[in-house]
Amino acid sequence: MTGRTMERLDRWTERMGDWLNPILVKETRQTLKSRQFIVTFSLLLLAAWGWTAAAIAMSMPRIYYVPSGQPMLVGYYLVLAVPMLLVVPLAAHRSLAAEVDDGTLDLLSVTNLSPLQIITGKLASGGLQMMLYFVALMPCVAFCYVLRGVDLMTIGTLLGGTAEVATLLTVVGLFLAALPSGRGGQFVMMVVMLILIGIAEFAFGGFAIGMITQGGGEASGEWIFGIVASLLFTATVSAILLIAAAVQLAPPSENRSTPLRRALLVHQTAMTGCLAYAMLVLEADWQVIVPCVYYAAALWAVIGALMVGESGVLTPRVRRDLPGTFLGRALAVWLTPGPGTGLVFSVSCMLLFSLAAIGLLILSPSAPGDAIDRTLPHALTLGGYLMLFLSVTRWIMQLIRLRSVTHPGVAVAVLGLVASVAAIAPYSAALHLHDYRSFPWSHWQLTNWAWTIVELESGLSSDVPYLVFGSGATLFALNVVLLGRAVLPQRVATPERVLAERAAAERAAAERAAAEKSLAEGATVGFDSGAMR
Amino acid sequence: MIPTVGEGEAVIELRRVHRFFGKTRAVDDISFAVARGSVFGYIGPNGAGKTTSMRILATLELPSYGDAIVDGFSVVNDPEMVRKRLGFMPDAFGTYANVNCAEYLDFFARSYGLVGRERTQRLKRVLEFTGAAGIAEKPIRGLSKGMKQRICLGRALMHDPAVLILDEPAAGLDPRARIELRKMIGALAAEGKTILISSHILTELAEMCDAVGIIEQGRLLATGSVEEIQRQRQQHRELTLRVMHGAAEAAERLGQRDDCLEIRVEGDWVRTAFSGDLAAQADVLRDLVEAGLPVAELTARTKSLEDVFLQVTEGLVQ
Ligand SMILES: Nc1ncnc2c1ncn2[C@@H]1O[C@H](COP(=O)(O)OP(=O)(O)O)[C@@H](O)[C@H]1O
Ligand SMILES: [Mg+2]
Repeated sequence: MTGRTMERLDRWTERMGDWLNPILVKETRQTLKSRQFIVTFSLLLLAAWGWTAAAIAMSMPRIYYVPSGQPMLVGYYLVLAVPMLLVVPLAAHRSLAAEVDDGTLDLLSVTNLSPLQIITGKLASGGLQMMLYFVALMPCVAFCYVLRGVDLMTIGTLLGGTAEVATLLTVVGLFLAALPSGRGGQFVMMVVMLILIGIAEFAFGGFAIGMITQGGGEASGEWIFGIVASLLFTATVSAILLIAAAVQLAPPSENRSTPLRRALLVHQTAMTGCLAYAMLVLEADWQVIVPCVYYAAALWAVIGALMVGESGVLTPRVRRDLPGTFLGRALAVWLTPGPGTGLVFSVSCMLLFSLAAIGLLILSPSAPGDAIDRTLPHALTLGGYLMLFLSVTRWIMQLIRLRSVTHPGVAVAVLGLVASVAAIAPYSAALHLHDYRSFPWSHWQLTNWAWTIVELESGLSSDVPYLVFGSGATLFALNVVLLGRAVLPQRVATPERVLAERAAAERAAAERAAAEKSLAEGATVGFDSGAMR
Repeated sequence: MIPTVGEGEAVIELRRVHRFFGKTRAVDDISFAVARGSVFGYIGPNGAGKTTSMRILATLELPSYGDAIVDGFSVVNDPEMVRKRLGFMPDAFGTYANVNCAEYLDFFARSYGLVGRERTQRLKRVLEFTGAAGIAEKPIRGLSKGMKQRICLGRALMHDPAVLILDEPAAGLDPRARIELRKMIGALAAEGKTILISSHILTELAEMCDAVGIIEQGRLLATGSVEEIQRQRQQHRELTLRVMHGAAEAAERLGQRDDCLEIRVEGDWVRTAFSGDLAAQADVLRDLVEAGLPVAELTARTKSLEDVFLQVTEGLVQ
């Protein structure tokens, strides 16, 4: 009987294993044999037991009549944070970086695994390790609950939040490992990774400890909204980073832009939705709008630069997968790779978000009358600068691309250079003319975005935002008219052989699925009849 | 006109492939085709562009210009279709820590989408073919070079590809392991696989290849069977005759033929550069013997493969 059960279990796990991501299977095998995991796991257990014993001893008589869950939970959080926020993200980063270093990534690339499968396999393996750490600490957390002083909501938020931050860090680690970099670059990536981990430990640690000791979590609408919004943020940003990592590993002829643009649209839509809920339903303070506009501007500046740095040549492979109808192509045109469409895409997303923000202020029941007047200048100025600098960046990239093949990352550097020159040049000139004494803002400092933005709050003349926006819009329009020639890209036919091959593969997959099904049914029947005998 | 190796439809085809890294022309206009079931050897010194062109075929690198076709699919436009048909063994083999040989191969089998019994059977077959069944449970790090090479070949064979790209598989192997490798490649070729194999040592490949291509500084300088290249590059074989006490007369007779040039006499020895084929060579011998000359020895020396290689690449290597 047990032999039979074991056999079935074996067969079942075997079948499950076939459906799992091969990377996850391999990494799990590796992890369970790796010294790093065994050491971390034992240390986690030791620390948790040690802390339990120490804390009980310290609060010995009181523990019977005073709720003592809070300090206990703080200790367990600190114990858990090390493997969750440090070990797992770093291990994921190293694991992908090592595949690049050792040349095994090439071996994976020539298999049927897609780049996204490789990346998500690594993420899943990190997730599995996190789960093991969680399970190991579960009894301790339950013990805290028994000691009273912490409620389930707090415990849930703490553990969920830790998992969320750990996941995000792991995703960032994978993203950084996938970026093209030499040996020196890898070291830089590692440093960046450690800095980010440090920031996350502090920020989330502060939040977690505050929440445990002050008991932040009652199930109010706002609390739940905060959780949902943060989950949406983490999920959409993770999707962007995972896709960005995957396209780095994809063959260069692949469409590397459209999936990212879609993910960015989803991110912006989700965040706008959260903002709308906060403003209209929860009646949040209207002043959250301005930082959101700045976030959008920073996001679209970096993303816009990357897209403006794309190659203008569409490979036949990309053109094959364009929508089949003229209308479809016309609608999807801004999702099509290329610097011209990228410029229009990022600028329109920024402008759309600004419009949405202003719209929310109009609709918001709690925003004061001058809210719009105080937000619009920021939106106009930021939008104007975005159009200005991205247009110039696109022209420079066009020149660079005439001479050599470059990476879109170069465009981010170009944008940084353009923005720095635009800020520093007029400032130094004016400083020189004023004999190095202090001087007030003047229209000569219009391209000096840093100073102009700072001055916005202290009351510039009201025409400045319009001037910035107007000049940005002019350059942008010029760019679109001169270089864009938004000719709809031509679709090319997929070769017959490729279509036939795909159809055959689908047929084979369907047949295999059918065979699996009949096999599974057969197995059950066999077992039943066996049991009857 | 693309030089084709073997007969029948071409399975591997490079069409004017270029690959530049900045100013380096790693691959500079290479075209050739290999028919199904043929073994093509790719020979050139280090830095000649062998690895780069093989990586282009394996869809790991994109040509700066030109295209490569594997079984009718372009590496640029349909890399996935190419990957299904192609087994690639790079010059450096990537291994993982804490993984044994069977797990390593099993992982790649899964990655190639093999499931269930198909996977276990394939795994068994590959372990048997590469003679690695005995080391299946050994950790992959710490294997000998020869054993690692077997596992790597096994990995490239996991999905039973029609085309194999092997980048310097024999480098660093001891003679015994090299012979084993040659046997395995012979068996694969007999199964009808199309193989592209590289080396910087010509003799390593001469016996297993239907044809070789000589590459230097990104250019394909010569292609053809080893004999063809020798004929192309060296019209004159060297004949050496030992004629007892009649060398001068023999030299005179040879001088009347138009396939013997640069005739020299040294004592009993006559040396001549000879451009005829083997039948003509027999003819020479008959001539001399019928004329009553006591020919004691005749040796025909073709230049060694290394000589040809040096001659083909001369002037380009500094
Ligand atoms: N990723 C790369 N970046 C820059 N140069 C490269 C790169 N890969 C190869 N090269 C250069 O291309 C040339 C050909 O290299 P390779 O194809 O590895 O030669 P082989 O395999 O015949 O020894 C060399 O000069 C090498 O330095
Ligand atoms: Mg090489």
